[in-house]
Amino acid sequence: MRGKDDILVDVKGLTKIYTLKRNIFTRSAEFVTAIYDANFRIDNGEVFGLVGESGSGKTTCGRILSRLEEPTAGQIFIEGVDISHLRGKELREFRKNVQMIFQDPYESLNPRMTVYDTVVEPLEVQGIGDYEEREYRVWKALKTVELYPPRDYLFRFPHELSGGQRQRVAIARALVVEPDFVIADEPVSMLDASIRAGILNLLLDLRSRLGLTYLFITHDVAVARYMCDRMGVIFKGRLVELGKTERLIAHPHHPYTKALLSAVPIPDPRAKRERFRFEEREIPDRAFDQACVFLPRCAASGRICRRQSPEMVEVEEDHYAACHLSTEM
Amino acid sequence: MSLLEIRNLTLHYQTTKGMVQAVDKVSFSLDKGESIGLVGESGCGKSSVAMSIMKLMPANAVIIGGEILFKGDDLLRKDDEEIRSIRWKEISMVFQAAMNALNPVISVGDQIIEAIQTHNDVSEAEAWERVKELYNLVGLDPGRGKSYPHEYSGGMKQRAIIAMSLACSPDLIIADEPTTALDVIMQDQIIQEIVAIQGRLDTAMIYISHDISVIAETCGKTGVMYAGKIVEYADTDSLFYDTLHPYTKALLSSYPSIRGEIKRLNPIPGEPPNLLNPPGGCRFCPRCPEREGVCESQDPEYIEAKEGHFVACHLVKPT
Repeated sequence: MRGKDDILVDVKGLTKIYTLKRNIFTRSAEFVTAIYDANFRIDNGEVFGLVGESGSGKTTCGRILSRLEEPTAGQIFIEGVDISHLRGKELREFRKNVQMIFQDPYESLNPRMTVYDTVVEPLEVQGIGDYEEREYRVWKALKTVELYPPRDYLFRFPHELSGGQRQRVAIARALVVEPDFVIADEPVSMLDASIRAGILNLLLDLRSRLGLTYLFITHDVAVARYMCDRMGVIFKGRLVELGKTERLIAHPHHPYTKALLSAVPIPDPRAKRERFRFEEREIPDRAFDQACVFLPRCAASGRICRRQSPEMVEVEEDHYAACHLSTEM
Repeated sequence: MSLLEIRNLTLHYQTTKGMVQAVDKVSFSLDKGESIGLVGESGCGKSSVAMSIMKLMPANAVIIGGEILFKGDDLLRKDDEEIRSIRWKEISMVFQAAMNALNPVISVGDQIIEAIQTHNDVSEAEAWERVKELYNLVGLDPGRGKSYPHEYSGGMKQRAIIAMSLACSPDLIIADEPTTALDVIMQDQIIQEIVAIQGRLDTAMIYISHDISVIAETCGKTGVMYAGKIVEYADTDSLFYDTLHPYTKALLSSYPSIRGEIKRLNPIPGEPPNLLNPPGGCRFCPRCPEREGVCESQDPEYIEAKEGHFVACHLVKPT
């Protein structure tokens, strides 16, 4: 068993509710629950994946863990410190250790900044080093992300780079402050397969070389399997299953995980897939509802699923599922 | 006679920087009821091929040469009027973003009726009957015909688009990344639907995707495109299990899977060439792990290396 010191990130009851419309006359408001009561931990040095469809709340999770947003409720402990409501100097201090890589390298880089300006900016914001030290760090970061030789890239603008190179610049920008924890939100979904493979390998190599810990957010289960030691599956703002990646994929417990996995195409014309039955229905936002969030689509639901939202229970060692019927299925 | 035969199609785009050689001597043929996958990375020319069949190329496209024979007639020689009578009625198309092309202020059913009545002389009531049939075919509730696009989910809209593409019982459907914007479960259902309908109606299909896993499960034959050329073409099983072209090999090993042993992915070094000025020899040569001297200077011929298995690579000799 792992000791407490091995846990880098500990998320307890994480909830984010957005207010959409507020009506001042009726004093009512419309809410959207992006993520509700999520509990998970990320161990030191591991790649933890969050997998879900668009709108499932996985990006919100990443944005809160990097404190681009504040949670509505719940706590996030990173190295034992609750970061959920940090402010000012403490927040800036926190950003030295936690960095983020975004999905779209065409949008996340400022088109008017050279590679050098882009990568050096976090050092300036953090007030790290003098001019020479910064230059050295930028050069080192570009080498780390395999942009050889760095001097060929320093004064280029994003439009002079390919998609893969831009994403490497974004990674260099994240790594230049030497963080411990990196949140990567769909870092390869805009890239072609042959380029994507290079970025994934780079991220894995950096993990072992620099001892990084990742939160890896993706909609692609095959990519998650390649990258992650453990993963969580999110459906409509609820974490429905959590466990070691290999075991979770080979032996899912939650009906949503089963449906998701059985829908993933296999790059092999001889492979046969059994589809897990799944009802296609529109799902209203029902975070405050007592019923299980998966109920409208579940083919196996029982009476209890209507009355009570299931808790995460340990179905195997270090493998959790939020389904009343998971033990029977 | 094949339903569709493309011979040496070459298409360039006129840009301010010069001619982009987007499609170079592409040839393949398609029989009735057959499904062909075209797979390749962004900018490889797969969509340009599809657009030229429908004659829906952007204004700066220039057809340099080649023929697109549909039922024996060259579509490239037809005028706009003639093409319009073929579009939708005989050849229809499902685009990636098609679901966003639905008119928001007209009910989805009425939009399909419009497509039907444009090409067939039928009454409104008959057309409605046809809409209901089509809705059943693609797994939509026929009662939702009067609903507006915003009342549909993404998957439902894409189903409606497929219904519309089938409205005039075409002989050929071109599906260009029809599920790319959808979540994986929805994608799977739509693909199952397309394959089932295609089989049932004996419609021929060209399925274009960047995702080899989708092609592996969908199409009988597969063509791999790289930098404007088809580099390998075979029945899908041979393409995966008896791969000849180094690019296809590299592409296959750059995909992770949720099955089997986890192998380290093989990225392809470098980037696809700039088609304003493609490399003189084989276009894959600068990135190819197996390249030889001849590859740099000479464009490889597209040969039938084995029966029904075509490849353009100097290292593959016909057997």
